[in-house]
Amino acid sequence: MKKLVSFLFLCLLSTPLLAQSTYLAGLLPALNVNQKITGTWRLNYKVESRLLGAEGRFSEPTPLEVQHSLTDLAVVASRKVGLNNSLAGGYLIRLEKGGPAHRLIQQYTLVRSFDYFRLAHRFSADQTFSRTEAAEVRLRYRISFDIPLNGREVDDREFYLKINHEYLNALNEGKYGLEIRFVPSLGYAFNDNNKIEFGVDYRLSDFLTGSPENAFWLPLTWYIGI
Amino acid sequence: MKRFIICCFLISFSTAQVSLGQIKYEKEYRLKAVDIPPAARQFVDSLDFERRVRWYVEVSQQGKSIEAKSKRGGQKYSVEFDTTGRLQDVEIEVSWRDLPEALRKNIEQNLENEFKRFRIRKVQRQFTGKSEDVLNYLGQRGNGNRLTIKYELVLRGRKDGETDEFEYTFSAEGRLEKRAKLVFRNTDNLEY
Repeated sequence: MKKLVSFLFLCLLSTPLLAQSTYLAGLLPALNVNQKITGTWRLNYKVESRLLGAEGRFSEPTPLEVQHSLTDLAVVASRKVGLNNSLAGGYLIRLEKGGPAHRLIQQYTLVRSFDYFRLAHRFSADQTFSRTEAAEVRLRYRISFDIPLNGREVDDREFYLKINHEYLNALNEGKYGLEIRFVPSLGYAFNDNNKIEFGVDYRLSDFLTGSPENAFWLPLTWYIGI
Repeated sequence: MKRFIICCFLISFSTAQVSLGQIKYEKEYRLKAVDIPPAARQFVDSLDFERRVRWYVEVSQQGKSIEAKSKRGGQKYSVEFDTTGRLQDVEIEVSWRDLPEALRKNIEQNLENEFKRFRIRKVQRQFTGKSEDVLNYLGQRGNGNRLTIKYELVLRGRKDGETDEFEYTFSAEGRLEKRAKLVFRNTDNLEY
């Protein structure tokens, strides 16, 4: 009984919090191309667009209207520094209405294969500059795993489940912000170098300041290895 | 400006050609209970596994085989059959330290000749022979004299400035019999 009362109390508390929260929802189509340059060097090209469908407060739902919000173009060069870890650095340009933003990216990734799944850790940093906004520095950590839905590893013409979970620490004009992302996806491997993933990208930010923003994106990513 | 950047980006894509060819034909998938050959099921039932047995079909350039995986006495077992259910081998994961010292020395000597440095990640003791003999040995009812015992090692080794993962097979005395470089699947979707 105590548990039920506590649960109802928490539900009552969360209602006004949710009402104060804002949300974004839309589509995130992306093309991710990886090019092998040498045995240790690779280039990654990424094009990703944001198509915003709805935006507002949970208490005041807005009608659905899809409009292009921005497009990111990125090139990242990576070097294998061990059997399953690599160092990378790159550049991203964000094309949006207010003018372009430029981002420098540095990352270290570590991927481990287990009997039935693969696990990856990504530690990255980025610095974003634009004419209209103050520079922003972020430190990110992402853990990802993929698990085949048939057998012990993802073979050609097989489905798999992938989950990304990421923490983004941002510093902007001396203010600290934390964003948490959770992205479960369903993937299909046409072959080892040609995969497509579709899922839900949930992002929670600004919850430290008391007015949390919830973003629900539907990513559709095509990975090609060349 | 926007168009120029997009053009540059697209040109850089076009410098490479999409590779459509497959490197290696190998696939494995779960096997339904009704499709398990009776002889294979009978053999695996005799081993009294503590955990659920997972059944797979492996298709490679060498052909098709059936594999049962489970645990017994805290050890991982992998039992391989041909498609009619005839036993091919039983592999049991063991600790490197549990191997006889003389055998370890022989294997280490071999590996020191191959690599600048190496690290053993997995050791499997492999039994081949008649299914009755294998069952008797695993059930501690026989001395295993009629079985062939080999050791399969998965290791990480560094030579010529590159680190790779390999699978090495040694005889019961530690003589090198087979080596193969392991190829990893593409990890791009986990890195980016």
